[in-house]
Amino acid sequence: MSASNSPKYDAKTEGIYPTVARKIGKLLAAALRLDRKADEPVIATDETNAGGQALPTYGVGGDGVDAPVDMTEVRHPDGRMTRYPPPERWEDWVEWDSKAWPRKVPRRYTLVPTICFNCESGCGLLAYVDKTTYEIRKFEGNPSHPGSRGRNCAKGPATHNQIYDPERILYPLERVGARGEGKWKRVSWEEALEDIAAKMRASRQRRRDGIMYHVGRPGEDHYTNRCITAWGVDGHNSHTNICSAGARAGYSFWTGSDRPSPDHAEARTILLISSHLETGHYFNPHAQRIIEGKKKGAKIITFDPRLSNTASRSDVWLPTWPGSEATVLLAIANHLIQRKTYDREFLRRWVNWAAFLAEAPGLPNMPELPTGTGSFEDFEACLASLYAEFTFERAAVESQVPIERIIEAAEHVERAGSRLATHTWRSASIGNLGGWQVSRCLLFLNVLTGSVGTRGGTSMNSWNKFVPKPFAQPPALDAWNELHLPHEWPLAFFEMSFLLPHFLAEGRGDVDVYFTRVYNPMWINPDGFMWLEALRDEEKMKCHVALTPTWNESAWFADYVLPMGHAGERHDLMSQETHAGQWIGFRQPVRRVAMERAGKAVKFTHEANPGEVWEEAEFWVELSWRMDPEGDLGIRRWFESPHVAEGEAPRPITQDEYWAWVFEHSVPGLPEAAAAEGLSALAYMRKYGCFEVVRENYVPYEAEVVAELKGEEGKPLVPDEAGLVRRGGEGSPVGVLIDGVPRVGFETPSRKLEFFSPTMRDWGWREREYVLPWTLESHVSPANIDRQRGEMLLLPNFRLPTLIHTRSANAKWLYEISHANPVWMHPSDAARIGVSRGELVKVETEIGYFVDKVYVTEGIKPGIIAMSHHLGRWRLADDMGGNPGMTAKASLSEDGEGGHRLNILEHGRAWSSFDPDTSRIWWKDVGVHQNLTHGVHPDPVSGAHCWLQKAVSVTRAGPKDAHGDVWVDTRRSMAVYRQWRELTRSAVDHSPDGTRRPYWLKRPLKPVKAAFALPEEPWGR
Amino acid sequence: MSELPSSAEAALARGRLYGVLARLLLRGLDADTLGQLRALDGWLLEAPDSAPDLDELAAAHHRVFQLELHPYAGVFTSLEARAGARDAELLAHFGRAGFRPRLDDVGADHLGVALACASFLSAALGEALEDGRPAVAAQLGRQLAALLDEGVLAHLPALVAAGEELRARDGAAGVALWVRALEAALELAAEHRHGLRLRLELPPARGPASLAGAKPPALDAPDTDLRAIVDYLLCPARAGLLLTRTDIAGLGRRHDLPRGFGARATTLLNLLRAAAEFGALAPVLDSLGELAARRRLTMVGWAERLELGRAIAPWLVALDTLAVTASAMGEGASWAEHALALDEQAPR
Repeated sequence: MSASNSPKYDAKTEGIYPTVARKIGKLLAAALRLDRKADEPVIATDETNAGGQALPTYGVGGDGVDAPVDMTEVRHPDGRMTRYPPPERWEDWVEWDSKAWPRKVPRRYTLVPTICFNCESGCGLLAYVDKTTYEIRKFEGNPSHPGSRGRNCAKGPATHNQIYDPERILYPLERVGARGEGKWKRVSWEEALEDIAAKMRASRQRRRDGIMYHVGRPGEDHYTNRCITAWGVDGHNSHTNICSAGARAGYSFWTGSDRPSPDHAEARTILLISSHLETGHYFNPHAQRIIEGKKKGAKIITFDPRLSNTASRSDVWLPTWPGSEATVLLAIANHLIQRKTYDREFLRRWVNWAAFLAEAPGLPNMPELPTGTGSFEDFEACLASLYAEFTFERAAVESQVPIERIIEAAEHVERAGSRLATHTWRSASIGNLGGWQVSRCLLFLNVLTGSVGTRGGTSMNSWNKFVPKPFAQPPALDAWNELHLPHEWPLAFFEMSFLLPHFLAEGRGDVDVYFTRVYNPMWINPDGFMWLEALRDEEKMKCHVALTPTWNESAWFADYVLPMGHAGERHDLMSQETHAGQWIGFRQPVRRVAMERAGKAVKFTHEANPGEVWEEAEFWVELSWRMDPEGDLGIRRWFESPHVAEGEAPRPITQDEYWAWVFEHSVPGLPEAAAAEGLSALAYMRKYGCFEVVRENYVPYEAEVVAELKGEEGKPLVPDEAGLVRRGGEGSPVGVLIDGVPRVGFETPSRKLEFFSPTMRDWGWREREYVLPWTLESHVSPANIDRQRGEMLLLPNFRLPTLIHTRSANAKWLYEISHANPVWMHPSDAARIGVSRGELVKVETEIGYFVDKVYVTEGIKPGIIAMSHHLGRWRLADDMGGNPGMTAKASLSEDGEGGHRLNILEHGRAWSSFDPDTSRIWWKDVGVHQNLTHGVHPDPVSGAHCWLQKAVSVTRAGPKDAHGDVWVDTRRSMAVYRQWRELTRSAVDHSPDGTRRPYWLKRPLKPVKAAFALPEEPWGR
Repeated sequence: MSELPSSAEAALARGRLYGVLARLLLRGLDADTLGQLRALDGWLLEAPDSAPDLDELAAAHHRVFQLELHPYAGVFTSLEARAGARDAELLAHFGRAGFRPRLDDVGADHLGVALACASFLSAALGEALEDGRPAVAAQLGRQLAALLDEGVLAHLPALVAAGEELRARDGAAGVALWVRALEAALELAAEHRHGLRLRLELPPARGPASLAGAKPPALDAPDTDLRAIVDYLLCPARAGLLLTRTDIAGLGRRHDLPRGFGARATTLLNLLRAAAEFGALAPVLDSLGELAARRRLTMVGWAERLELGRAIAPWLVALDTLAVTASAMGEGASWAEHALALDEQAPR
């Protein structure tokens, strides 16, 4: 083409900056030199994908791959929207393979719902299982789940890391060298089952307290407890007294229920004692509802000496000195009482004020009270008199918080009325000597405002959690294990598990078969070197079986390490009090379910899981069967299938049979909901993974008992003098008369809210400070921390939202987010000590010391140092016992006289594995194991380990100190233990009726009444 | 200009340049496009002979185009500030041109798709010229001009201005490359449009009509809360600029204010709320006004260099309005209290 026959297209660049025109002219010339590839279409036409390639068909088996799908939309209250695959498409779902990008490679998935196992919340997960390979591609949220509503925190999707952790234990292992030597051999499940079952059978034939199941987070409801009950042993050993015993005790003495269930979403004021918004006990479900509440105008008050993210998002932050929380709460209570802005009618109807007026006067430390004629008005006068000393001024002095903030908090509480949502769980309740009074004083505010169980108020867990009954319940056990609940702690919530090594050292007994289940007592408990000594002692700890999905420090000292599955690898049933409703969630082995959907038969879940990873639900059945193969111990019958025809030999029950019965017979509304979709109840639960039992459940204590007794002909309700109502006048009370109407009431002996606790009085705690909501001096009160001498308060137990205790050291995503636990220190303290950020400090406790980096921040109160409690995992071998990127390689040494030393040989590092990400580990600091240096502090009432520690000295580390060093003297450990044991008031001395423990108080597995009798030869007497 | 090729060849060459830019915007840099850039005398490359880290550039591409700068006409020129809001108009252009792209993973109003269409049309124009069909060529030229007006020049100056601000705050090589690609697209399209105007006697490119009717929120209106302000500031067709995550973060850091995390709307709302709560609203709004002034300066510079005065004029008006509005907001303490109070009421 010549220029002459072209239209007027020659570049004319007038007006365009000349250099631009020249540049483009040169570019055009250069572009003509490009090869023909430059002329290929930029965007493909219909025949190919966006990468210009023909659509591959791998994993695609039919038409309709590109058909648009109406996604399930969930609109969140804050305006955001999330879209999920609709449940009707879950069995066959196609997505592009993200790793193949930019090619569009379709992958065909079956989506299987399950329940997260990475904390206690029980959030819904949806596993994407590849239909071609049966590999799990990812976990996302389950939009059908009433608690989590499709949303998850970081820990949920990180389940994928745990399942594909290169270091996970895939096969049963049996120790072959000495305990702790680190020599193992692979055994079959059959070999492990036979050997362990034989030991259990031998123990059970000799005694009822030789088998111990030490459980961390149960993560399920009723199944394992049923198994232990069937064994007929007092074998359940909770972790609650390093977690929640303090809060449980305080709530129980008020209500009989041991956990709160605040209705955050509907609250007007939300009062949190801890960093609950970001790291709370039911973190994700509660956090989203706290946000909802805040969006609707709720005010948030947070007590925390640390500027947590929760504190930073609160309307009122009260950085209270630990141990002063109850004083501040009672100052708020006093504000309501003196101004008479409390809910009089609620108090009159539901508080045991009459018992108080009749029985409290004259008790130790109780002042002269204006009891008058015993009227409610007299009780009001007593309240005003009793609590007048709790002024804002006093609260400000004790808490070291500006008085205006306390007043502002009180005004928010006052304005809340019946919409006051409160919560404390770990934090102050588990931190302080007498911490149980924190939850008691906190619930006092709910009682005063009449916000107990109301919309926007605070319910109790038993109202918002639904636990279905099993298909056959073994009878209560007739046994009492002295190592669980010894006579010194008759009111503990619950078993004194963290003192087991100390009890063993004192010669109180031994254990035939000790199961640690998803629990790492040597690491997570205080005084870990005492655990080391106990776990090594084959005379006292005869067989240790570690049921764990991943290596841990305690498993290293086990006889068997049995790999149990993560969230997508097991059957469990779960419910939690996440909000003012009730739901159940069904944890499932997702690969197994996917294979069964494809028509593949699977007998045991370990056939579908990676390696031979199993699940406890099937393991317990097989183990129990072998423990009693002939049925002569009466154990086997609880594990037999109910579907064996007459004349056939009994066989073990399957998971399908068990859960089918539970879902058909034990969950109201579920069979009907399933039938509406043409499904069995089991199929419904396998499809959706959850079921909403009750949408809302407010003030259930107001329900009239009469309504519950329809059909109970011949059993009239008979009230006694105290107003307690019994069926036929016999047995346990079923209600209480309120203004002449029999109502269900609470789970206390009086079935009322026990402002005055007759139980405390009757069991030796007669002083005002124990029988009423009151303050108790903490072991770390300002009077007990001599800051002039350099003493500080170590707050060792704050939580991170991205980790879960010791269990997440196999989740690369989570560790990339948080992997170190430096010592938080105020700049004024750092200046005094002479350290700056990143430098090492040596923190000396009552029993030893540790060395860690310091993080200087104004986000912590002067005089206090704080550390997250998740980090500092270690392993003793280079290539076993932990993940090199998330644990430090350590050595242990001891002097033979109680002195123990932990030295870090190598911090975290990258390593080679099938997962390329392990070679990309960029961090080294994986934290310091501080818990080893904590002396045990068992609260004499609740049994809680009071986590807060006195740091005897905090100094700049010396030249010989290395990051991660730990030293402990277990002789000092025992001395600290004995000091705290001296605080107890034994049931031997104080039981009112010759029993060990008030029968009405909860125990995870409550024995028969006869087992409550005090032992004939109590230890130490 | 002896270096200039013939018109047909120029059209073919333009088509290739548009194609290279479209590939870069849609897919990032790979070995093929890297070879093409090197063959184009190292166009856009800072060090043409060295081997760039393609992974780093891919990460930067994701960050720049997915998280910071949203290269969609709808984001800039629609009042809902939504990607895809201009799909219908762009699809109409594509249809008239006979350009039928597969749009599985990208919207029709993505800048890369418009450039791909420009590549397609330029190639067609080259063929028409080579075949001696001036009427078809003129028709294709008019289609090209219309496409460049609506799919490229209507919003690319504002996008480039935001990109240059991003580059100034984050000097990473990857970020710089992608901002240079946007600048190159603006230069190429503006120069091309200018040539078409002269040859086909077309009016100069005009700015987006939607900006003319856009109004800031009435500060004295009873329902003007912080969200209304956020909606305004995050709508380029109203505020005259694209406020990126980095811009918002910069404002927060400059004034020591928390902004939280999440979507821009969330972080900006958090930032303004914190500013109101801590009495820092006036300085924050001053900084916002400074940012608007910088964008204005940048766009005026481009207008002068590329003779884009009429195309950029509505953006300048919107930026001037933003400056006035920000100033008024900063002075109105009572307004801030009112807006804050509204914000704390029930969510919308």
